[in-house]
Amino acid sequence: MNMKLKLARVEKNLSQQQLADLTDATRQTIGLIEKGKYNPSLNLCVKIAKTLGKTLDQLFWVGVDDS
Amino acid sequence: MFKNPFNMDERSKYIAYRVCTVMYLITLYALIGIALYRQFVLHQAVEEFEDIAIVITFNSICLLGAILYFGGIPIRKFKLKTIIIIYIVFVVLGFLFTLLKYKVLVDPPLSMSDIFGKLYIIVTICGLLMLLWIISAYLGKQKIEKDLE
Repeated sequence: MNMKLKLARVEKNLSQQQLADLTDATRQTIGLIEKGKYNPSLNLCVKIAKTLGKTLDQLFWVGVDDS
Repeated sequence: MFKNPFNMDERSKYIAYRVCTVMYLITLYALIGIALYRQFVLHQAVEEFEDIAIVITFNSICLLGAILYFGGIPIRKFKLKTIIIIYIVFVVLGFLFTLLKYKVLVDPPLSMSDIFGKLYIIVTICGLLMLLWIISAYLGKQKIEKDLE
């Protein structure tokens, strides 16, 4: 489960639908990424990171502690 | 503002492509099944299902050609030895299929000399197919190299 993405989205006061609209994705896609059930393309990762004002590392990097 | 109800994102496009691929393969296999059923169960003449046979042949040849052109099968170098081995495998498979068709499935069966007489057709068709696929792979490789420049 990608908690980092969910936390960053909540920090920005965005719903899944709002984040989806801002990144040209669907709510289902955002939901599946947050659940860790879909691997987004690098393009979508960059869009999400830019929208949330974070770096790719901050949102998607899986460190030793995370696993 | 009007919002397109079919605004597909990358995940939905990916799912649609996968479904299309599976459905395409099912259609192709179904067509092969229909052709075999007509030939060996209904004993229809080839002319009666020639249209289906043409569609299957055209599709199969273009499928491999397109995969090679768009880099679905990456080719590092065109080695003559590998090409010759693949060509021989195709000829052997074609001959085995001809043997099965005219010795087992056709009644009365053809003599071995008649079957060997058909070998030049197999050799020519396999040669043309290999040539087409090599050209597709070569052009695809050139295109990718050009894009990389």
